[in-house]
Parts: sequence; structure tokens; C-alpha cells
Amino acid sequence: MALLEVHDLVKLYGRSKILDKVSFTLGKGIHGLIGPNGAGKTTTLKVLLGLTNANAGNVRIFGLDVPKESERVLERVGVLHENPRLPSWATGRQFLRYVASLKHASSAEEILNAARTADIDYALDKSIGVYSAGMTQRIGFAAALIGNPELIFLDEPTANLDPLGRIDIWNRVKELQDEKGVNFVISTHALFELEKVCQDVVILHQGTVLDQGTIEELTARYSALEYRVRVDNSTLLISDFSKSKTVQTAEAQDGEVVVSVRNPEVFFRELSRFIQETKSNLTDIKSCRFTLEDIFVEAFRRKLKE
Amino acid sequence: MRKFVRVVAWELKNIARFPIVEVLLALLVFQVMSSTLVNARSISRTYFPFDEFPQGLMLSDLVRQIATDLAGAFISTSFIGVVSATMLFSYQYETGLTKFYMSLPIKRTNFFLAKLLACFLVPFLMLVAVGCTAELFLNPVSVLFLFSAPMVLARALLIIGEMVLFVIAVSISLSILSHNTAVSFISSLAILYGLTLVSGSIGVPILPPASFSQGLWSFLFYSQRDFWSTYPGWTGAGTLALTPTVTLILLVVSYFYFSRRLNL
Repeated sequence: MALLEVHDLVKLYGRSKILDKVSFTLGKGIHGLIGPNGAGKTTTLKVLLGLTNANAGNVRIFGLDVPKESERVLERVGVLHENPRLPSWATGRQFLRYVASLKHASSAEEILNAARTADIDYALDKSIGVYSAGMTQRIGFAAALIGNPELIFLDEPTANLDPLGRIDIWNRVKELQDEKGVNFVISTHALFELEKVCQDVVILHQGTVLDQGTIEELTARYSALEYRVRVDNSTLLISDFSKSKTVQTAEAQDGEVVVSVRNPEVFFRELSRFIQETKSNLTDIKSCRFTLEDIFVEAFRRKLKE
Repeated sequence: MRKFVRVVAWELKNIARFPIVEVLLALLVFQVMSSTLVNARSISRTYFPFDEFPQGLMLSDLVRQIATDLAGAFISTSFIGVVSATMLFSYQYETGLTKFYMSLPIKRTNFFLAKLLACFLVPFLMLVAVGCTAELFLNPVSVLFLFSAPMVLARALLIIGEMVLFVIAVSISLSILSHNTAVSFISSLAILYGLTLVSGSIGVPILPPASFSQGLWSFLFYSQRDFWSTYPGWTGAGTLALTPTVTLILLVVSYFYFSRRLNL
């Protein structure tokens, strides 16, 4: 059974369409929800949590209908909103106790474990009002962990954290998935960090799903394959490749020619022909790894071309 | 039910950030001073309809004192009611706290009712406390009288509750519909104190607090028959029915908007 199913979701704010027939299905694991600003990521999360009503379409989480059965869904779900605003008058411990009491998980040990996992146990007796932005983020993360959730929604989970804190949060996410089987849906712009933990990605653009797939599938779909070629006559090589049908782009960068290709076999044939014809020296050739950011950029480049 | 109680307790703690005891003491001092001044008739005051009531009724002076004191305290405690309602609804919405709370497993209906109860309890208990303490200080006989007739006390509490609920309903509806702390706070106070002035100037005690003092008077000392014979027509009916009707309409509209249409 799918963990989360979204069908033809439409959301209007006034006359503007924020979500336009958004559909995707997610199974177990860590999933990324990515897209540029205004793509509809946060609105999608709000609809998934029953915080905002969709104008059309339906959402099922654990097979339960949202928003009709939101309360039952939320008992099994943890949430960390973007830039969380939490009750500044309460201490971290009071706040976690309150969250725990609504999630039928009021044992002190469980609260402490969640705080330890989020690395905020040292400040539990301080008022949230004196927390730094990073500490607030961590106590919000701890709150999301309470009640042994099966699925956790994280919206920009590392937005206010320092580099070490960011690494730490991603490690915790990976550990929770590996050790406890907790599933995640993560909306973030930190693609470089996300790709280290997530299995698949939904790319949103202007309220529609631009693409969805595992990192491997998307890499195969968008990539190309990018090579860095070092030859002694790079200008001539760029000019030669401009006539090629398999080379998508070729540009000079730091004394190398960065070439994006469709078909590697054809590319290598054309490269060897060029070397033979021009008697150039090939000093180095490297295959570049395609990152999630590259996939993201390439997906948008193609969309714009359409 | 357990979750509901937890939310009420949590929201009461939230309101308790305010120096409630200090405000209570300040209100008490204000109450004693204003009552003393009103009794001395040295200053002009809000219109109280029982000024026109036939004199010579049993304990009329005593009741007049109670009603005057509580009506005065009502105006002050309304302020606390408005602050509580605005804080729990529009301020939490504006700062994003509502979004967080609604991501916890609790039904919107229970969340709304828990907040409503927390908003209601604070000014209600303050009004009762200020009223009783002021009476004890100003006129101990009236307290003895109230406690010697439990039904009278129950009726007085009922009217106090009804009036406080009216204040809360005005403020909650403005908070939910405007989503804006400043707008809901200022407009709630403007409406509530505007009603006081309008009631005073046109001499028709339809809505609180003028209707409050009239309600106290009539509930405490007039039998239903006496009441209708003294105040025939829509004014009398309004005193009894209009406040709860308006309150109910405001709360129902607020509830439906909060539970069905509020996008967080």
C-alpha cells in the first residue's frame, strides 16, 4: 500500500491557481519535494496535513482520507514547519510535554529521547523565547519525533542551522529511516544535502508536477552525461561540437571544455575524429557526476524550451 | 475529552503570562474608587436603566449597589476578555502558532471550543472575583444577601456569564475574520465601548453593559411578570433575548469559519 497518494489536487487562492492537478504517489522511504520559490511545495504540505482545504482532488495518507480523517492521520505523523513559530512563553520541556500529551506519548523518557535525537536536551528547561533560531528549529524537530511517527513532514528542516547542525540533522534523518523505518517527506532548497539521504524526488513547478522519480531514474532521464575535456585547442573543439547533434552544450571553463551530451558513444566517436583530423593533444577527460541540482536545472531548462 | 482539557489548560497557562493577579488588584482598586464616586454622585456616569425604576422596593438600594458595581467591573474585565480572545485567535494565527497547533492530532471543533472556554474563564472568574470582593469591601450586607439566596446568586452568575460570553464572541469573531491582531483588538474595544456610549445616549439598554445592569436588576428582583409589566415591548424582550442571540450568531459564524474555511 502506498504511504501517501495525491490525486489531481487543485488549490486556488482568490483567482490564482497555486496547485493545478498535482498528482503523485509515495511509498516508504525518504522523499524530496523540490521546486523553485512559489512552486507550491508548502501549499502541498499544508493540504497533506489538512491545514488548508483543496478546491479539488483528494489526498490519502496511510489509506486514510485527508481532511476527513486528519486527526487519525496526525496521530501517526510528525511535522516541522518552515521557520517554526513556537510558544515563546513555555520551556522546551513544557512544550514537548504538551505535544506528547496530545499524541498519547507522555512518558518523560520518550520526551527526553526525542530531545536527545534533536540534540536539544541540554536546553529543555530554558524558555523557548530565549532560544536561537537554530535551537527553535531543533525543538521543533524534537516535537516532530514525539509519538513514534511513521511519517514526518519536514519543511526546510535545515534553514536556520549552521553547517555542522545541517549535517547533524541529515544524519539523524538517515538514522531514523535506517534504524526505525521512519518515512520522510522533505521540502527543501538544499538539494546538495537532500540527495545524500533521499530516494526519490517530486519536482514541482508553478503548481504542477514537473517530474517524479528516483534519483537514478531522474539522472538517466535528464543527464546526460557531462564530460570535462582538456585539449590544446579548446576553441576549435567548441566550434566543432557546435555542429554536433549529440552534443547539447559545449563551453570553456577553467581551461577545459565542459560538454553535455545525449549519446556518449556518438560523442566519443566525434571526439576521436576531431583529434585525428586536427592532430590535437587530448590531455585529460573526466566524466562529471550529475547532482540533484543539475537534474533540477536541466528539468527546468527543458520545461522552458517547451 | 482528555485532549480538550489539555488544550484548555495550555491556553490558560498562555493567558496567565499576563500579570492576572496584579490586574485583578488594579481592577479592584478602580472598582472601589469608582463605586464610591458614583455613590457620591459627584461625577456623571454610564446610563443605568434602574435609575428609572420605581423606588421603595425591598432592598432596592442594595441591589442597585451590586448591579452598579458589577456593571462597572464588567467594563474593565471586558478589556481582559478582548486581550485573551485576540491573543488566542488572531495573534496565534498571525505568528503561525495556529498552524503548528493544528498540525497536532486534535479536531478543529475541540480546538475552537477549548480556546473559547479558556478565553471565557479568565474574564468570568475575574469579574466574579472583583464583584464579590468589591461588594465585600463596600457593602458586606449585599454579599450576605447573595449567599443567603442561592438562586439569586446562580442567576447573577448566569447573567455575568452571558455578558462575558458576548464580549468574547465579539472579539473572537473579529479575530477569526480579520486574521489581524491590531484590527481585532482595536475594533473589539471600539464596538464594545461604542455600545456602552450608544446605550447611554439613546437610553435603550439592548446590549451589554447597559443590558447587563438591567438584566441583573430584573433577574435578581423582579419576577417575570413584574419584569414584563415594567418593560413591555421589544426593549424588555431585547434585554433577555438579544444578547444571547447576537452572541450565538457570532459564535456560530466564527466556529464555521474556523473549522471549515480557515486556511492556515
